[in-house]
Amino acid sequence: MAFWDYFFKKKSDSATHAVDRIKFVLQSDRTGLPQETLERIKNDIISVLSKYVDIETADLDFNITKAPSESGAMTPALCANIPIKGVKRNTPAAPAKAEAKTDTAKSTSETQKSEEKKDETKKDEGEAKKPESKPVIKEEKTVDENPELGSALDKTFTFKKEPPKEKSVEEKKDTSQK
Amino acid sequence: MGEVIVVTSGKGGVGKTTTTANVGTGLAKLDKKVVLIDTDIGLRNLDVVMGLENRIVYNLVDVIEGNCKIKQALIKDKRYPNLYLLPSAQTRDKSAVKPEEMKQLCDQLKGEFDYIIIDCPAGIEQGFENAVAGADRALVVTTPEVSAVRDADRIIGLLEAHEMKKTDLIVNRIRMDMVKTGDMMSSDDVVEILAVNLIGIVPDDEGIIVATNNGEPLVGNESKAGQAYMNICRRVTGEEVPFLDLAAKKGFFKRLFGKKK
Repeated sequence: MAFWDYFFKKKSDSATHAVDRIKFVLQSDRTGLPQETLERIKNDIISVLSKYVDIETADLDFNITKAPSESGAMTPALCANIPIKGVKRNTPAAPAKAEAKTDTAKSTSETQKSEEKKDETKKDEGEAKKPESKPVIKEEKTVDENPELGSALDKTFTFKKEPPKEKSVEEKKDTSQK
Repeated sequence: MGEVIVVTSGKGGVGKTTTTANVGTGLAKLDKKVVLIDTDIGLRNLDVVMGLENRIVYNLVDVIEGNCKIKQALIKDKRYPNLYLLPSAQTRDKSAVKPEEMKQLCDQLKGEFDYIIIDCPAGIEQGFENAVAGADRALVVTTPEVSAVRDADRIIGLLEAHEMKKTDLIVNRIRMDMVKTGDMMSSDDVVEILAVNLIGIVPDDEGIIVATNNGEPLVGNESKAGQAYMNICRRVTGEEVPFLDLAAKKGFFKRLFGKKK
């Protein structure tokens, strides 16, 4: 056995697996937040970022680790490394601002929108969770808000290419008037 | 004025007692005046690891309850000029000692010894509270396993809550052959996860079992573990010591035909 082991040593990755698992567990241990909440925070951050930039979801690193605070003591800190593939041309930044200023009701629809998008992102990663997919079904009115997903999710983009583009132009006009 | 060091880990069986015995003995070999205190009341073990089990008359609880003088309870290790052990009580439970009493005891001992090394019981209950109460610094022992690392993280958090001045990490029982093949977390992995200062890496060594069988800590001998423990002792005293190269290669033929460890 030792003879073959020497020539055909396989590189295992159980140690990497262990590191990933322990990091994951310590995130909720350190913050006292349940794992599911952390997952949602992560997805919310992803959805906010993907409004403005194309991000590489496969390579992203999202951890709660310990970092020295100003007093020198080690405190839990969020460390995220999210690779950006490119900047989106039709950023929805302007419409988002406009809506927030004009109407609070609209701003809630904005959050719903991000919820839906988060869900889309998850599906893209192939790890959609049941509880989070529920609210999306209700939100039919946010269907026309899909343009932000456009360049990140090609499927959606080609599907609803026409109407969203028009809308984003309108919204841009709105802000320019302001 | 002496320094009180608590050796702790959270998880049991990672090598707290072995580490206490070796660090204590090593410091004594470096001509420091050392006392070891076993605070694992009801599960006394440091005495057998040190090979001093036959000489116990009084114990920690006797000292705390005033049944004897501190001096009477300290067992002198005749092999080293300045090494003493205060054994734990085997027939009592953890509530027999309070953190405040431990703190007073440590303060008393500080006047007499350079280092007071406390062997902490596993867990995070009363025994842990007792052990850390009087400590100035902590050595957290862990092994490169998920369970031990998780518990170590919890312990490090609790030590911070106790405002421990200094916390250092010992990664115990590392097997470089497994690290190399990707089947064991490296000490770097563990340090990155726990974000704490590394003071020593101790390789898994059969010599530790032999040493425990004989009641003779192996610190300072020629084995890798013996060298690693001695280096920890020197780092404890403030000396800068480079880490051992544990990955030193076995010979070609030994690897080819040697039995797989």
